[in-house]
Amino acid sequence: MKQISKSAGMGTAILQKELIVRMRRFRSLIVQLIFAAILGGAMWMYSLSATIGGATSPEDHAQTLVAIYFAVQLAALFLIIPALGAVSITTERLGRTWDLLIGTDLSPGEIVRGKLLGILSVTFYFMLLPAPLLAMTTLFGGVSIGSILFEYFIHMLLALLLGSCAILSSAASKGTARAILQVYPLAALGLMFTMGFLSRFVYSEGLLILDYLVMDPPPWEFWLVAIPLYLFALIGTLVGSTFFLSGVESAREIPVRILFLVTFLTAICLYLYAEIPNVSATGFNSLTSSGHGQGLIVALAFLPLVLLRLAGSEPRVPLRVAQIYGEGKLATRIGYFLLPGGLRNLILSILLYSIPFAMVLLLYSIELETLSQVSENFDLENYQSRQETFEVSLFTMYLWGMSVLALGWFFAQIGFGGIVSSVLALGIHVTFAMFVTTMMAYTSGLTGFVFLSPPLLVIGLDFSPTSMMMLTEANLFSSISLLVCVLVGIALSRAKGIPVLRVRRPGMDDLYLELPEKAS
Amino acid sequence: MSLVSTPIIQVRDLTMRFAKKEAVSAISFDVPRGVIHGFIGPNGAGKTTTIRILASLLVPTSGGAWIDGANVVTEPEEVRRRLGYMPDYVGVYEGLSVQEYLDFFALAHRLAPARRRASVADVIELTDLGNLLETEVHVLSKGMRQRLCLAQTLLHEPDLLILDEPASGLDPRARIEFRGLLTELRRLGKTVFLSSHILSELSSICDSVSIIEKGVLLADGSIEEIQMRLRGATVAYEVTLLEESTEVESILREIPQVGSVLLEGRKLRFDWDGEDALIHQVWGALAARKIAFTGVRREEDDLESLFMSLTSGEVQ
Ligand SMILES: Nc1ncnc2c1ncn2[C@@H]1O[C@H](COP(=O)(O)OP(=O)(O)O)[C@@H](O)[C@H]1O
Ligand SMILES: [Mg+2]
Repeated sequence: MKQISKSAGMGTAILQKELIVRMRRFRSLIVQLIFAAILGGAMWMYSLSATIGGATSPEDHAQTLVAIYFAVQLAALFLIIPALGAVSITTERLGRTWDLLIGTDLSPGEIVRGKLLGILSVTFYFMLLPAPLLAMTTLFGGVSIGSILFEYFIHMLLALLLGSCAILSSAASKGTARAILQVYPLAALGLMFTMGFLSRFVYSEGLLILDYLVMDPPPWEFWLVAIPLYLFALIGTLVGSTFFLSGVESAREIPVRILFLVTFLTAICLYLYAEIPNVSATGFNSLTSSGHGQGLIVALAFLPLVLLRLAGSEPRVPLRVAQIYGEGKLATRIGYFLLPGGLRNLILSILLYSIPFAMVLLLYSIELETLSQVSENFDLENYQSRQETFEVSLFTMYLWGMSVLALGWFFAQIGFGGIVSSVLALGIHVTFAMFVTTMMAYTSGLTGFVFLSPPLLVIGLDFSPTSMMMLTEANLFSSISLLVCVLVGIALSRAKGIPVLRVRRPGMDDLYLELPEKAS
Repeated sequence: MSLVSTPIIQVRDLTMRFAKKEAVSAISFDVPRGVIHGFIGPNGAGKTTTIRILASLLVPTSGGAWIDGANVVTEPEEVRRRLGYMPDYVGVYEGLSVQEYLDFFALAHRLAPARRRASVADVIELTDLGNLLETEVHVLSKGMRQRLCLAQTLLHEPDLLILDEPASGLDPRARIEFRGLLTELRRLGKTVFLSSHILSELSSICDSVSIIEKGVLLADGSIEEIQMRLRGATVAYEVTLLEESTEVESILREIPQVGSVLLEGRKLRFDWDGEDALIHQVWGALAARKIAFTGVRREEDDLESLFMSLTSGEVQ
């Protein structure tokens, strides 16, 4: 029996290696210098402006200085961690060390954890360098040790999540460039939201997060949502990375799909939780009011972009999934629509696409109930006409979204990869939209081609007889292209011998699971 | 059936089809324990593809393969534990020293601390890397890198080593040393499965070979076995004459077992259809006419000619 060491379980082998490599490289020295320079620069600028602004108490200075430090640190996290994470797996692949690594006893999960710990250790090292200085500022008063520690805690949580997102992007990409391109827009968005909030309400007031929370405590429901959401995102990205690294024929697509489904449901529950108390026909938030309703419809128009990733994914069922399904486990029967491959790719994406529409309809029905309570001077006629616009727009968008998804699915059946299929389907619709916009500019009004781009039509809907006729054309166009894509796609799959609905891998039976008695 | 007698590699009707071409077509072979087995074929023959399937890094289209009884498709973890795989291109981590590199892989193989140190020391001794321990791996020469990679594949003490073109790109000296290393491994009871497109690299150390071309297995077995199978087919002799002679051709044609004869200056080449025991007729006939010769080479004797007679030699 081999002696087995458990110590590698948490990815310590990888962590050890990462630390040696990172700390030894000249690059890390440069990063340290840049980090120090940014911080120093910010502090210097502050001291200049403070001198100009006139005297304040030492406590105020200390408070503001610490707040500025943390604001800079937060921004640095958003800049540095995505880069470190995005290259983490792709460099192993490109340097051809991945085959060696996967040949060891390390599981993909351990590799992911080790990489994450490696990134975090380096980040924490930078973060903790100025800690003694920060502790000294507490001597001036105005800043408590507790606030500083809590601030560190929050930043570390953020670093953890950012790092695991970046690794997910790296695990899902072949090249480093793509991994970085995928993760930076996300990081930029995160930075905008976090910094937008913190710099407006917290840091600019010279406060730290703990001070802010103490001053203005959020309701307990906030924690009830925030903590599970954080854990869910963290675990989801880690599990996702692991499954991306588990080989081409693995069941990695299943957790990705579950992640999609749960994210959708969570987001929608949160939205409903926030919206339901506010819906009423008379209120500002009335769904049929043009501002709110159109905003919603525009948001729904962007949904297919996200879901194309599912619709356009590989039509063949991964071997491992087919094997698991073949074992007849009940869970695989219940979660049938979550299994990748065939027409299920389209069905699941349409299912997910339908959920937000169902949500809007639910809100709408609640709103309609409030009609019985409206006062006498409520302009019912005006409301009813807007109601019609809203319903018609919603229906048109739903049909259009499905046809976009079907187009992406169709390209996947031809044999294009997931990303290419998505880009092609999107490209076609963007081209349509540009074409229609150009034509409208020429004819200064609606053109006969507007049916090609239903979202444009919906946004400019004015209920004239012509535009209603065009709406019918547009819906007809969406339905026909939906139908054609599905039917031709199915025919293509059939021709290639790829099952459309069955969870079977073509040629699966050609693989020997048992050693045959004699070679044929 | 005892475990010891099962072949360490079993391949059955293994096929790998890529989008446009079939890289490996229904090949079947076994590799017994404790031998050095050569996997030979020209570039593009499907060697790397087969090897990656054996190392559980690629899932085949059909058929199956077993490493020490573990199925490469359904039990990849078992397979990886039982073999050491060295890819055709050896990537190394920048910024690690040889010692750190080996320590890292020992840890990654989950060896217990005591065994880890012993294992690392053992492979360092075996591969003779002792005086390079502090050198950073990315500055090592190709030959040393190859050794380091071999050392790494040996850390978890697998019974089987699968090496993809280990000798390519090595200078002659490094190649000879590498061969010595492989025979040493065989002495330690390991099975070595290695691929090559150059035959001379392997002929002296392989116990058995599989010859593959365009994804099809052309021959498989010990070198003698393959020769036996080719009996009946023509054997060629190349004779170097002491001085040019025009009558040699007619002398040889009088012997019925001699096939085509080719004379180019002092080089005489002829095909022999008969039994080996009767070849003395030729030498006798030459001696009777006082035609002296300085060298004789039986072409089938080496792996090279075996290979040439089997393959069309096309590179795909
Ligand atoms: N991933 C791949 N996709 C498509 N074709 C491939 C792939 N890998 C190898 N091939 C093709 O399969 C054939 C065999 O390749 P390979 O196994 O690398 O040959 P060898 O190692 O014997 O030189 C080659 O013609 C090669 O072009
Ligand atoms: Mg090769």
